[in-house]
Amino acid sequence: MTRIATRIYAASLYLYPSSFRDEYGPELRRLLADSLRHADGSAEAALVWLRAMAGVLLAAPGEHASLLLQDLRFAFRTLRHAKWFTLTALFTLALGIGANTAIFSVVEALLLRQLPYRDPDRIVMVWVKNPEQGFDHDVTSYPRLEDWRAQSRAVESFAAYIGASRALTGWQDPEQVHGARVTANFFRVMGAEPALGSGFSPGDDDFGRPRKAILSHGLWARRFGADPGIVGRDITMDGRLYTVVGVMPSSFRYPTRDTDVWEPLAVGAETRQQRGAFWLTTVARLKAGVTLAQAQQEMDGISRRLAEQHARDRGLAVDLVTLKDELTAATRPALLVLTAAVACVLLIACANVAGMLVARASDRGREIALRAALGAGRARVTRQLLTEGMVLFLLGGGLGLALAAIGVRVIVRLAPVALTEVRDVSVDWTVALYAVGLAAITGLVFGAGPAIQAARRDQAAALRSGSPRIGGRREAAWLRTGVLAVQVALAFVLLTGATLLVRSFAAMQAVELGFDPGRVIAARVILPGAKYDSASKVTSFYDALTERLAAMPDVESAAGISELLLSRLPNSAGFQIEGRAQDVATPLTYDSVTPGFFRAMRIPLLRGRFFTDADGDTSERVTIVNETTAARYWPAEDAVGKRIRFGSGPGNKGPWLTIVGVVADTKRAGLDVPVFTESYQPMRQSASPDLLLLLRTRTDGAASVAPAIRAAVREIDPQQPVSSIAPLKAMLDESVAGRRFNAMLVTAFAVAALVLAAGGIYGLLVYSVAQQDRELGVRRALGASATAILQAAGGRALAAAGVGALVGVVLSIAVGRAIAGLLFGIAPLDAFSYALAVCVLGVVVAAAAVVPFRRALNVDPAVSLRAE
Amino acid sequence: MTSARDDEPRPEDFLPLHRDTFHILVSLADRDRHGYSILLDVADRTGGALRFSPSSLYASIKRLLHQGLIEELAERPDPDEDDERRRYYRLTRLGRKVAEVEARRLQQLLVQARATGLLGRRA
Repeated sequence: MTRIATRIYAASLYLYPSSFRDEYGPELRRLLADSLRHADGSAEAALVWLRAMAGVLLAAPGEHASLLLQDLRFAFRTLRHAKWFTLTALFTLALGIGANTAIFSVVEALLLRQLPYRDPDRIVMVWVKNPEQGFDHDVTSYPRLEDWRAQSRAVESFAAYIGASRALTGWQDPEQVHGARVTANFFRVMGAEPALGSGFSPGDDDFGRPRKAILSHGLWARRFGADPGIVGRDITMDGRLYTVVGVMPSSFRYPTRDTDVWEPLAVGAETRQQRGAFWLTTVARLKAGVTLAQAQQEMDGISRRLAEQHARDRGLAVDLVTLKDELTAATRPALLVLTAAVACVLLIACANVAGMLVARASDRGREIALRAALGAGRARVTRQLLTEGMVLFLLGGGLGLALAAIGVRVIVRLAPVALTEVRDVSVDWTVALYAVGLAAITGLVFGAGPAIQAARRDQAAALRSGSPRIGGRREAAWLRTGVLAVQVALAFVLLTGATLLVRSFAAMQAVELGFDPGRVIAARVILPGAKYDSASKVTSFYDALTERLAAMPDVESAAGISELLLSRLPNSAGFQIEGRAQDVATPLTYDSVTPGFFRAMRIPLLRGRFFTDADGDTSERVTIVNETTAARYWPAEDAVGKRIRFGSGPGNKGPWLTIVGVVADTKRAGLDVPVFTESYQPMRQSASPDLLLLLRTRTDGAASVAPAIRAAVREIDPQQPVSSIAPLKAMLDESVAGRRFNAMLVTAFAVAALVLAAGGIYGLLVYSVAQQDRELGVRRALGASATAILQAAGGRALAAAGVGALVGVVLSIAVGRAIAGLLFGIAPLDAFSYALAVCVLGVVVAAAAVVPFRRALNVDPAVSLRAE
Repeated sequence: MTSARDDEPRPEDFLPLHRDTFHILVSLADRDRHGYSILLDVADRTGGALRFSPSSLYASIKRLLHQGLIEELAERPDPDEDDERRRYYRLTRLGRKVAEVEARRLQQLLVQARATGLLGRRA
């Protein structure tokens, strides 16, 4: 019994630092043995043993703490003495950790953060795969939504919505607000509840019910002064009264971040029957315990059944995507690339510092050996060096965190406006924890190696040699050379990646838009359907507006189009060509334009004519198509004079439209997107309540135009808001902002990597020359040539750089493939990018080598021989 | 020029002493002792009220050694016990001085307490 008790006690002594255990362990054990032997009975012995055990548990942490304190004091003292070493290492670490922390804070906010909804993993987007029309994520029709609801067992409930812009009037100036029309169960599916009032009740979305609205927190605060009595009050939107039933919390921002108001989606009897009308975006909540794969499998089955029942559903399938994936899909690839880039920077930085620590430990060999000889055990020395390394890394982490706070601000400013979630990015506790954790882990990984290596050396040999440096130097040199090769390889990868992205961005900038956005101011007007319920009301409004604006002295021309920049799912439909049996399924976009549109935007006419004022509601229905459309459907003949009709099937009652003109292609869908087949209709024949007003001004930066636009609209209709007044150029810049953002950040990281790698090469060469000064001196005295001296001083480092570059090329090929999706107009194996990377790297290596090589050549044989 | 004496700590710098420290110093005042002997002596003098655990005793010993109040002697067998060799500790000059100054301080406290009638007027 006693033996087991003393054994346990002996084992518990391992809680002490080894230095204390080595010194007092035997004494402690002897003391306990004595006490047990003299104990009066087994009860007292047990008490003695328990007290001894408790003593260890209480005292051991204190011993560790006092040792740590001692080590910390020593570490700070030594680091303060080695100012240049410390500053360089801290700067390097701050750069590596700071860049990582900044990008992590973006990744955390955009990719990792849990959606603020109940059981968010159960919310899925229900997209229609529509390969025939070329949409992989299409919206759906009401009858199909009903079929899903009736047949699915895996889904708890389906909700659907569509965006709606509303003119909010009353109290203040009219304002165009972003609305969403949602099915009554929408908030239940999303797992969110109003912060104030209630959600919608079942049946609220029945046709003809009183209108209800739920406000966003933002609109409620901005427009209604956060009035808690808002629930139950009426507001006017598009000239109609809505009763406010609730206010959502600020965390709820779906379908878009800037959604201001939700209203029930009342679907008319006719629309309920239209299988071919694709207009609803669907979200669903899976039943608890149902996996995405199970639900997908079930939806596949339902799609097959529907395809058998309905001709319109042939070729359609369903793709379920978790809401989280949907929301992060756009940013994920770029963020992953950025994460990889900063990881490279961090690795290079850590490798640099590890290299510096190795060199320093080797230079301090004598000091370390002396301390070991004076009784500090190997463990003690390791612990001391490790503490020193940890202090360095943690200080670097702290500085990195500060750097990240600045970096995040820069990122938020540079980020594309469309990347609205970037506004959520901040340096918070999670991020701080990440930075400290990163510093601690890198400190352990990269600080421990040098510490262990230094402590392992043959202390006696070091003392004997009389040199301040010691054996194991060859080992250290090899380690540093390997590290250098890795650094060069990583820097090379970043360099090629950055070049590829910058060149993609440049290629995109060089794309011809097909229209001239210079000096054009755009503004959005959306006429409410309730008030402007006929085509003539809409056209007379726009006629009056463009006339008024065109008369302004600053304005060269005024025109409008329902939608200039096409989205992923533009207004489009299949159509029929007169005289051809086969319907065209590939959708043709349609947009209404004012007569002056093409001239104002300087879109060239290739054949036929532009629209004129004569194309009115009583004349022949006309259309203009783009070059792509004409070439695809009338490759051998003139498209002008041909007639088309939107819709499908023999029962199609749509009016025939005569093609009167063919215009040049434009990049309306985006610089990196293939041109759609597009058509335009005259506003007077196909009135659109939405209009993007386009004013070409006579001078640059005509800031005066904005108030003039507002005034002109107000004169015609005081209740009508205007929104998004901005230069067209700015809108277009925004479309390439994502690429610019990626290119800039990766370039910044590549530059950082280059600087660090250059520092690494420089440091290694300086060190190598300093270590070999005697040898170099002797060689010089024996008449070695300059080449031989340089070979001895830096041959290995340069060879390592070469090997690193080669590895870098191989890695870059893999990386280029991986980021192919982010490239534009350039191949992942773009020779120019590789050549440039090689040249830049060569110059940097050469620059880093100049000073150490000069020093190597200037070693004075007399001085080094005397020292010998 | 600063003399070496200026660097030496003054006994007053250590006051007031921690209870455990004082007991250990007192225990070593009459003769050199090993750890277990200190432990027994202290327990004896305090009527068993103060019993060190091995850990707390050696934490104190380590600190006293570091402060230079006690010193370690070469290992030798305990004459009262078996022939196992043990580490003995002895008060240094400084340690003796510190214990004395502390004892005087406590004595003075006692005198003051008596003067106020706290302990009655009995001598």
